[in-house]
Amino acid sequence: MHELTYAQAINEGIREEMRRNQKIMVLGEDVGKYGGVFGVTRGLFDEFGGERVRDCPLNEAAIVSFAIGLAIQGRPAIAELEFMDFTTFAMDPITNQAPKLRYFWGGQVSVPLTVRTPIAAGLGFGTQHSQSLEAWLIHVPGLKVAMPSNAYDAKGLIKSAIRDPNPVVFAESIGLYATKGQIPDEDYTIPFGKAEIKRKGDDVTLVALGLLVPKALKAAEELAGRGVDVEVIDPRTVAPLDIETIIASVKKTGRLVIAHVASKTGGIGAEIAQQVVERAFDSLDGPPVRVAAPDVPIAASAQLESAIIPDVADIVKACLSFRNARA
Amino acid sequence: MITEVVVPVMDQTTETVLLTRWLKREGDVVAAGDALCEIETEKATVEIEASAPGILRKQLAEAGTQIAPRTVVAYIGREDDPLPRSPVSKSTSTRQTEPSSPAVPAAAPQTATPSQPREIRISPRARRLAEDNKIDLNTVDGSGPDGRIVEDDIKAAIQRAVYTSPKIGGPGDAAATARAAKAKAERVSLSWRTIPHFHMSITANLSHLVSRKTAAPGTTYTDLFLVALAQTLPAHPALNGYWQNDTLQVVSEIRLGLVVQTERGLVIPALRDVRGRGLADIAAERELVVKQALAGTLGAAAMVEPTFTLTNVGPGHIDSFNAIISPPQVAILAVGSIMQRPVAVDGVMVICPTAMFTLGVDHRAIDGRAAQAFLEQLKTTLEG
Repeated sequence: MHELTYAQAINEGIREEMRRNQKIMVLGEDVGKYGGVFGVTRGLFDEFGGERVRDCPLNEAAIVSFAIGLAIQGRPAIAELEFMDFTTFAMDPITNQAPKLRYFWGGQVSVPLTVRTPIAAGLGFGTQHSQSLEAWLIHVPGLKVAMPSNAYDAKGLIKSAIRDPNPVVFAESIGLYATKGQIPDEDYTIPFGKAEIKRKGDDVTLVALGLLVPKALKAAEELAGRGVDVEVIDPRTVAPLDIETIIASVKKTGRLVIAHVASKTGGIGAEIAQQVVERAFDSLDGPPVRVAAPDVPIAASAQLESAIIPDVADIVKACLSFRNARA
Repeated sequence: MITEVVVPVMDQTTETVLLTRWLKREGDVVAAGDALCEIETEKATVEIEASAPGILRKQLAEAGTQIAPRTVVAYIGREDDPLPRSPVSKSTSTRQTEPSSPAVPAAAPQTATPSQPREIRISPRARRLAEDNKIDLNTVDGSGPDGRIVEDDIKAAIQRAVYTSPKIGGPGDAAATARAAKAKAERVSLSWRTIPHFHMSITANLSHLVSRKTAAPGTTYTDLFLVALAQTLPAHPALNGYWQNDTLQVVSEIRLGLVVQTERGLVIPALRDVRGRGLADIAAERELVVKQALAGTLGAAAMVEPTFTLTNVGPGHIDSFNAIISPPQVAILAVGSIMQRPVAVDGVMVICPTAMFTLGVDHRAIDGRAAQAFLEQLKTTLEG
């Protein structure tokens, strides 16, 4: 075991995969000598050289398109987009090319592409640098979307993403980059589509994504002191989504809360809630509740932003909403 | 938070109950389970308990008032909780101005169909649990947001088979006796006016039954009749249910009502579901409910609407009688006296104990063939 931050764990995962497979390439803005805007690719240029770790022009569409071109020629490519907001510039290659080509060519082509992009919510980066757009991506069949919540998962999931012959958007959380975790010394991967039950509980099923997983665990601890036993589930990947684990939990608890940083309308919370309603309606003891950002552009002001981004208190309140008549 | 105190639904035909007296005053601190007031039904006097702790903030009905089931009669809450301007639940209380005036306005519509069901807010999970355990949702108050019935409420309802504690109002209370007589008069009139009855009789040789009774000291013939019904009715589900909204609602549980003559008049306590139960078990419950009926202390569990009623004339010289169905039920079995009578056995006349079993049925729900099939099987069961 060794201790790494979330950012270092991703770096180590990429490094190990690049050692394992000489064909893998990294592309992005300042990912070379500079080591990436948040330092996630630090040291890769020195170890693997400018041929495999390439700085690109400030053009997200070009970066992802280059990466797709490499991938379909058998060179797994890892593209870094500095903020998830900037995936909007690359939506044509991300939605119209990467997930389509394998189907388009009748399975003759695979697209081992990983688009790494971080969510900056809660850090005062302003309205065009703080969005969580993962719900846009799960709406595109053929794309996989990972949202790691801790260092251990981040490493295991980035390795699975790189090895996957299909396109993956790897949504990191900048707010978690400095969080530390214990990493096994031996090689490991975490499969996509397998949620982790972070905490067992009987009263409420709390599904949290990315940045909100640690907050959900804090909320669960606080709620335990108030007699509410919360089961916290981290789906880890939202496409594919491990709905079976969530439904099994709801069948036990009867109550579902989904917490994500993304704005509420059309968020992944809506999708999870609907799938549970469709398949476990009789198990629900109350309507599913979403904890999410309100439908407003995220403010740069620290006070306003903290009011927008869901916090522990919001999660606690949502979990108590099922029994407010007795609280 | 304000908690409503609601008059429970005792049975489907009771339109009003009498609030006899308050046991707590406004401003009193109450604990959950404390008796708040007494209400009197046709069958017994029961206490309404506080479902939550707090202060009895307001009484919404005065003693001596006739109140419909599900009416909110009081609010419990903290000192600073704002009181609702009007009860959330529908109130249809009518003031009884003097003891001799009609308890229910004479113009009140009386039909065989029970009152409209209230709109029930309930979670899907709670609904499923209630259905699985046959909980009457009208007897459950919701503790969830906006008064929604949630799983815990149903679990609590399952826990307390008896949700009100029965008390007093026994023999000697002249006013109560008068009210019970009046209620009975209304009930049988309603039955006779609205139910097209027909009756069918069968004679059973009870030689074996008499030996079975002798072999089980402490049991009565009524117990043996109840057991025979528990064995016979499952094969004749149409007789076990209610006529509601112009259709027959078959009930899966078999809750046998037993007509008991008390000083306050006729009372029909219900036994719990008798399916699969043996003689000793049924005899013990019969003994208990009859004792309670005579004392006027029936528990709420025995006051639910039976699904089928037995009336047994007992020792005497009555051959047979036609009983009046207790609505919304659709059938009633009337048993004459057991007497030594001549019977033909294998072509020879012998003298043995027999009784006549007369089934009264609601012809809207049941036809002669179904009544005959039931009686033939009942005879076989009794003689076996």
